[in-house]
Amino acid sequence: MLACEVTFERLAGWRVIAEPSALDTVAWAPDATPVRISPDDAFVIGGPAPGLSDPHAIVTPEHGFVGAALTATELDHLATHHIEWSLPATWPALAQGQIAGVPAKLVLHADGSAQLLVATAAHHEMADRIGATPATGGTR
Amino acid sequence: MLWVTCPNCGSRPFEEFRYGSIFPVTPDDITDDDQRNVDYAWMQDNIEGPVLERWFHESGCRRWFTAKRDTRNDAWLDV
Repeated sequence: MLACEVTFERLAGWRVIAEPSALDTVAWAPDATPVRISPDDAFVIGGPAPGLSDPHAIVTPEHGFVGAALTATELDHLATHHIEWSLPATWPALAQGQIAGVPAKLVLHADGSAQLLVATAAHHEMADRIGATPATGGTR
Repeated sequence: MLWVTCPNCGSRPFEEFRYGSIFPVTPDDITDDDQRNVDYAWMQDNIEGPVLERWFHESGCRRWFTAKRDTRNDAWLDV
């Protein structure tokens, strides 16, 4: 169980598939949080649809993730009890891999806090395993 | 435990990955196109030593990559 109660919330954003150079240079909206999943793939939480220099870029609404804000203490507990691999040495950073045996992503902030991202379809399992509260309702 | 280094995500336990078989390398001395296709698709070598392999980071970035592994000791080598 986590030291503090963690609640998942449904996230709305954009999935962007584009040339890595286009994703490197895009100007994200101030209220958007880009999560760079791979060189050619990003999940952007919030904000308007981004405009990219790649004419073949795919930008589509993404409702497939839920997220939970973690304090530094909660993250430390999660890393100690549920993460087998090492977190990145320098933050901010994105860490991806299994957490409590469920595929997940950690957006690590410079202040030591983090946002835990999980596919909506798997987040009930994650919530059950780490003692968090699943998301309710929908985004549409 | 075998750990695999994903170029996007870093070192992770092999359970996070899907093994995609040996990277097929067709010998240059096979010149006939049909025979090259057969060799590419079906003639899997069971190499003892350094071998190129395809791996899919299923629980992370969900991207395929090529890695070089020594099958004698599971050591990862530079590609």
